[in-house]
Amino acid sequence: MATTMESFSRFCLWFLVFLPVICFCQVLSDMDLPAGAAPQPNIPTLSVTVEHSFDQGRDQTFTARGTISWKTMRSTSGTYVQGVPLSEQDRDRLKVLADAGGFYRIRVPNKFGLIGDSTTDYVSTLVRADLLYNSCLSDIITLNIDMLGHIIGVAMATVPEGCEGDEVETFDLSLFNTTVEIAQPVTGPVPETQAYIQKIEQERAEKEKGQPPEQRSFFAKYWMYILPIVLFLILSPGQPEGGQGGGGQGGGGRGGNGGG
Amino acid sequence: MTGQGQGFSLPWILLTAALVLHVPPTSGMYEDQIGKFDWHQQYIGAVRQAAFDQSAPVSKRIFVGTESNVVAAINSRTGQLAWRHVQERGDPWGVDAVLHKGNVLVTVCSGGDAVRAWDPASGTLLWEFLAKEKNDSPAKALLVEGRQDERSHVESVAVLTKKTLRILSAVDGHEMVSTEVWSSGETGGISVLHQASNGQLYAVSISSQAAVQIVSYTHVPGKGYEAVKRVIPAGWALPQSTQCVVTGDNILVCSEASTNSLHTISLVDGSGFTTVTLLSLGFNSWQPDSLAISAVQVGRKEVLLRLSQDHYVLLQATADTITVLKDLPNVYATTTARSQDRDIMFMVKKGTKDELVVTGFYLQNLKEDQALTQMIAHPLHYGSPQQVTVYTFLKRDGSTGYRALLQMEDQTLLMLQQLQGNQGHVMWQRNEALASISAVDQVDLPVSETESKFEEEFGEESEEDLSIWQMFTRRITTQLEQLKDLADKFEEYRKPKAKQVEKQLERDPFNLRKMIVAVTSAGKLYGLDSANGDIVWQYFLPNIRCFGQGEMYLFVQRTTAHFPHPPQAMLVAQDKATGNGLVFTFNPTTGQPVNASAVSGILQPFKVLQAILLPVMNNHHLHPVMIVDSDHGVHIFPPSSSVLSVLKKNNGKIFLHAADLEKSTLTGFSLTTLKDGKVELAQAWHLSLPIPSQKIVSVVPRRANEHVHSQGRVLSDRSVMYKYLNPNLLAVMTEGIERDIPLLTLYLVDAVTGQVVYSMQHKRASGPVHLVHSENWVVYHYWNGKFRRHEVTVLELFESQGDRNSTTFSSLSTQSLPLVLQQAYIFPMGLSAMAVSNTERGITARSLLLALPNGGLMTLPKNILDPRRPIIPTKQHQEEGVYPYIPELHVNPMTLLTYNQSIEGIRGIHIGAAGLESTSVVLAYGLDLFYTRIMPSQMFDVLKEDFDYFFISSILLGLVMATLITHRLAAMKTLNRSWR
Repeated sequence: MATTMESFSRFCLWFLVFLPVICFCQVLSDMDLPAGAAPQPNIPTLSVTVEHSFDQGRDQTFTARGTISWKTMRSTSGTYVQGVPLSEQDRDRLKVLADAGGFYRIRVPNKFGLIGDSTTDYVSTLVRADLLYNSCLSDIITLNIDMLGHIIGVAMATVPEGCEGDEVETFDLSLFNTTVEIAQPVTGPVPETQAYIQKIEQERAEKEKGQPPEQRSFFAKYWMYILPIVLFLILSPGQPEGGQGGGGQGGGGRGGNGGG
Repeated sequence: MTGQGQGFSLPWILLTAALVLHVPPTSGMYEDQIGKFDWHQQYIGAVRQAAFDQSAPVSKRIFVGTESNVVAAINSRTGQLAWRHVQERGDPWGVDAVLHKGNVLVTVCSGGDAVRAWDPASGTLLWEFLAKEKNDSPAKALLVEGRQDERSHVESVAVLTKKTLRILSAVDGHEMVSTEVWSSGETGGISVLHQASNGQLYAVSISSQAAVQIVSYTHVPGKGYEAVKRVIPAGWALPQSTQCVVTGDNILVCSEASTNSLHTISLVDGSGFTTVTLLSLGFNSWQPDSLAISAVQVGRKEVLLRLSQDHYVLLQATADTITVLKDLPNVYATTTARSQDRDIMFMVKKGTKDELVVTGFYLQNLKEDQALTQMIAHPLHYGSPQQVTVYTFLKRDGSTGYRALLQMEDQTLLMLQQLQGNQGHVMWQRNEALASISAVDQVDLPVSETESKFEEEFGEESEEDLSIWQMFTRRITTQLEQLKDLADKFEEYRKPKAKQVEKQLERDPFNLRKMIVAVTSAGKLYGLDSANGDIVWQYFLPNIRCFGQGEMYLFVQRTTAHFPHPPQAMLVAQDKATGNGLVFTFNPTTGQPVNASAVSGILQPFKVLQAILLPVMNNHHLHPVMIVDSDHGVHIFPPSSSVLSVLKKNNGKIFLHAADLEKSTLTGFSLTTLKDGKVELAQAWHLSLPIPSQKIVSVVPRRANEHVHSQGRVLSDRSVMYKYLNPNLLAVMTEGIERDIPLLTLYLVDAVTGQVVYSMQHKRASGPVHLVHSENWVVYHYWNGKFRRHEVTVLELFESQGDRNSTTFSSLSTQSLPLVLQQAYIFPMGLSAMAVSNTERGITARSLLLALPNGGLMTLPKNILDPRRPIIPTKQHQEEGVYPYIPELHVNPMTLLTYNQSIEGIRGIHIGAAGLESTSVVLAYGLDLFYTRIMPSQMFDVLKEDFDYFFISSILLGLVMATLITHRLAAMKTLNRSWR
C-alpha cells in the first residue's frame, strides 16, 4: 500500500517537472515559422493584401480591396478586413459585369510578409460576376500556403444564400462579407505495413487461441478411423482364422491401448 | 524495426497476396495465342557507326552502334537483328565508337566511360571496362596493333577521352596504361588518336589556350608506355570548331570552320603549322557549319574535306603543302573499301532524275570504274543519304562486287546490291526512325466502299437544296450501286482468288484495326497498319524537330466518321533553322498533305508556347487547333470564318492552361472573341509554385471526351458515393528539395478557376514520377527515399454532399470541395511508363498498364488500387467486392501482356478504344514497338469461340415445334369438348 502511494507521488513529481517542457513543445510546434518571425499569441501576424479587378480582356488593372490576416502557420482560417468600401463606380461596374456575364478577378502576392523578396508575383483567380452580385458580396477566399511562406494559389467561392432572403437591389453592396480559409498540403499516405502486420499477428494469435492444445485422449482423437475398422471387423462374416484375423486383433489391441 | 517486422511477416504477406491476386480475373494467354493479336518490332535507333563483319570469310553481319546507345549485329542478307544489346542511357550522341578488326569487336560509349568487347558471332559480352569520368563529349578510340611473327594482331584498345588516355588489353580489358592528357590547370577538346606504322601512338588534343598538344606514346617492352609531350602554338585553333585527321604518313591536317582554313604539320617532328585557306585552293563556296575533314583510310595519304552537305574534295597533304586531287561535287557520302589490293573510294551521288548513283573510283589512279556504278530510285521520303558503308567481294567472274549500306536523312537503313547493267536493288530496309517516336495516335480506318455509299445516300450535303426528283434519282442510283456491290461481294465470296487487287485498308466490323500515325523526332511520319505493323504510308519533313521537352503536337482534327469529308490531322513542330513553329496538315489515312502547295509544312512567324485542339467543331466537322505563341498571342488553324463564328458562339467558355516549367508557374487563360473577329487570351488565374521545393514536373489533365459510365459507387447499405467528375481537373506533380529533404507535392487544380481542390505532400520522396489521371482518380508511382522502395499512391475523389443533381459539371458554379480517399502501396520495382485503359463507352472496368524496367508490360486492374480497401474486412466490404488491404502489390507473370518478350526502352503507351466496348488496343513505343489488345473485363460482349450454336438453335426450333404441336392439340381438345 505504501509503495503504491510512493510511486504515485513520484509520478506526480515527474509530471510537474515535465509539464513546462510539454507546453514548450506545444508552443514550438505552433510557431513552426521561418527564422525571424516572432509570433505573439492571439495577435494576427501574417497578412496579405487582396486586390481585385473588374476588367476583362488581356489588360487588367487591379485595385486594393482589403487585407487577409491569420495567426500562425498552422491556422486553417483567417480574418478579412475591408480597406476602403466599394465605391459607387465599382458597384456599377460589378452590376454591368454581372449582366454581361463577365468575370470578377482577385489576386494576392505569392509571398507573405516574412520573405523579403524584390520580385513579387501574384496568384489570381476569377469568379462569375453574377454569382458574386447575387450573393450580395458574400464570398469565401481560400489561400493555399506552404510552410516556408509561399502562397501557391488563391481560390474564391461565393455563398449563394449570402443575401439572407433579401433582394439584391435593397442590399448595401459596399462591404464584402468574406470568410477566409487557409489550406496547406496534407501529408501523403504511406503503405500501412505496421497495421497490416499487426492484423496478421492478431489473426495468428486468434487462431492459436481458438485452437487450444490437444488434451484429448488417443481414442477421442481418432475414433472416426477406429470405429469403421471395428465395425468392419464385427460385421464381417466369420472367416477361417488367418492373416486377416491377426490384423484385426492387432488393430483392436492398439485401440485398447489408446483407450487405457 | 520495420524491416524486421516485414521480414518476419513476408511469407504471410506473400501467401495472402497470392491468394487475393488470384481472385480478380487474370489475363494470361495460351501458347497458341502468341502473336495472334500482338506484334513486336525491334529497332536500334539512328546508326552512328557501322562495320561489316570480318571474322568470317563471307560477311553475314553488320555491326552497328547507334544514337540510342545500342550495339547490334544486323544480318546483312535479311536486315534482321542477329543480336542486340541496349546499353545504359544518358548521352545524346549514343555510342562513341565501334571498333572491329578480325575477331575483335569493341565498342566505346558514355564518353569513354564504358568500353565493352563482344563476341562477333554470338554477341556475348567478353569483357567490359567501366570508369566514372562523366565526360560531355564522345571519346576517340582505336585498336592498337602489334606485330608478332610477321603478322599484325590487335594488341590493345586505346581510348582517348577529354581527360585521359587509356590503353586496355584486348584480351581481358584490364587497364594497361592510364595517363592524364593535360597537365594540371589546362583543359581542351579531344581531337584525334593515331597509330603510326612504327607502332607509336599519337594523341592530339586542342587546348583552349590556342595551342595544339601532341603527345606521343612509345611502347617500351617491360616498362609500359613512355610519353613525350609537345605543345605547338596555334592561334587559329578552337576546341569547338577544329577538326583534325592524321594521314598515313603522319601528317596532321586540321580544318577550322570559323576561319575556313586548313593547317598541316608533321606529327613526328613538325614545329609549326602551315596554313592554307580554302580560297587559295580555288574554292569559293562552302557552308561553314558543315565543313569537316576526314581521313580516307588507315594508311592512305589522302584526306577528304567536306565543303557542304553534297560537295566533297579529295586532298593530298604534306607537311607544308596541300594539293587538290579530285573535286567531288554532288556527292552526299563517301567511303573506302579494299578489293584485290586496290583501294576504292565509293561515293553516293545525285543522279540525273530522282535517283541515287553509287559509284567508285580507284584511289591510285583516280579513275572511275563504270562496273562499280549502280543506280536506284530515290523516293523523296528518305531525304538525302548521310552515310555509306561498303563491303566488297569477288564475283565468280573475278570482278569486284559490293554491297552498300546507306543511312538516309530520315534514319532509314538501306542495303543496296548491284544487279545486271548498273541497276541497283534495295535488298532490305530498316525504318530506324520508329525507334524515336515523339507523338503517336491511332486513327480509325475509313469505312468500306459499301458503307460509304450508304452514307452518300443519306449524305448531309444541303439536302434542302435538292428537289424531290433529284433526291429520288440519287436514292435510286446509290441503291443500285449498293446492289452491284453486293453482287460483287457474292462473286468474291464464290471465287476468293478471282480478285487479287490490293484492297484499300477498310474498317473491320469491330473497329479493331486502326491506322497508327507516328511522328518521329527525325521528322519522319509513318502510317502503320495496326494489324501487323506494316508501313502503309510514310512522309518526311526534313526541317522539323521536337520542342524543348521532346514533344510534338499531333492532333486529329477530323476523324473518318464524317464522310464525305476526308479525315484530317495536324502536326505542330519546331522549325530546325529558326526555332519557329511549323504546321503541317495531312490526311492520316493516306499521309498526303491536305494543302498540295505546302509539302513541307507552313512555317509560322512565331514561336510556339502551347497548342491545343479546341473542343468545338465547325460546319465541316473540323476541330480547329489553337496555337499560343510566346507573347500569348492566339492563332487559330484553319483561320476560316466558319471556325471564328463557332468560337464567337462559345465566347468565354473555352479555357486553357499553360505551365512554365522554368518558373514553375501555372496559368489559366480564357479565350475571348473580340468584336473585330480577333481572338485573344485573357489571364483567368495564376498559380505560383516555389522553387526549388516545388518544381512542376508534369501536368496531367483528364483525357478529353472520356466517357464515365457509372456516376457513383453503391455501398453495401445501398447508399451511393457519387464520383467527383470534374472534367477540368488537372493533376499537377511537383518535385523538389525543401530544407535538404526531397519532396513530392501533388496538386489537383481546377483548370477554369485555378482553385486548388486538393494538395498533398510526400516527404523524402522523389521521382521519376509516373502519373495517370482518369475518371475521379489519380494514381502515381514514385520512389520513397526513407524506406528505399517504390510506392504507388491512389487518390479517389467523391462528392462530399451527395448527388450534385445535375447532369453537367460547371467549375464556375461549384462550391464544395470533394471528399478525397487515399491509400499507398509498395510496388516491387521502378517503372518506365504508365497508362490507363480506355474504352468507347467507359463501361468496362479500367486497368492500368505499367511498363516495367525489365521490358515487361503489365496490366493492373484499377480495383486493386482502391483506396477503400480495408485492413480489417467486414461483411459489408465483402458484399461490395472490396479486397482486403495488402500493402504490397505484386508482379504476377500472368498479367504480363508481353508474356516472355522484352520490349526495350518503353517511353510511352498509347491506348485506343476499339468498336467493341470490352476491348482497348495498346501500342507501347520506345526503342521497340509492341501492339496488343486488352480486355480488362474479359470479352463480355462477344460470344465465346466454343459457343454451341447448334444446341441453342435446335432447342429453339424444338420449342417452336412443341408450341405449334401443343397449340394444335389444345385446339383439337377444345373442339372435342364442345362437341360433347
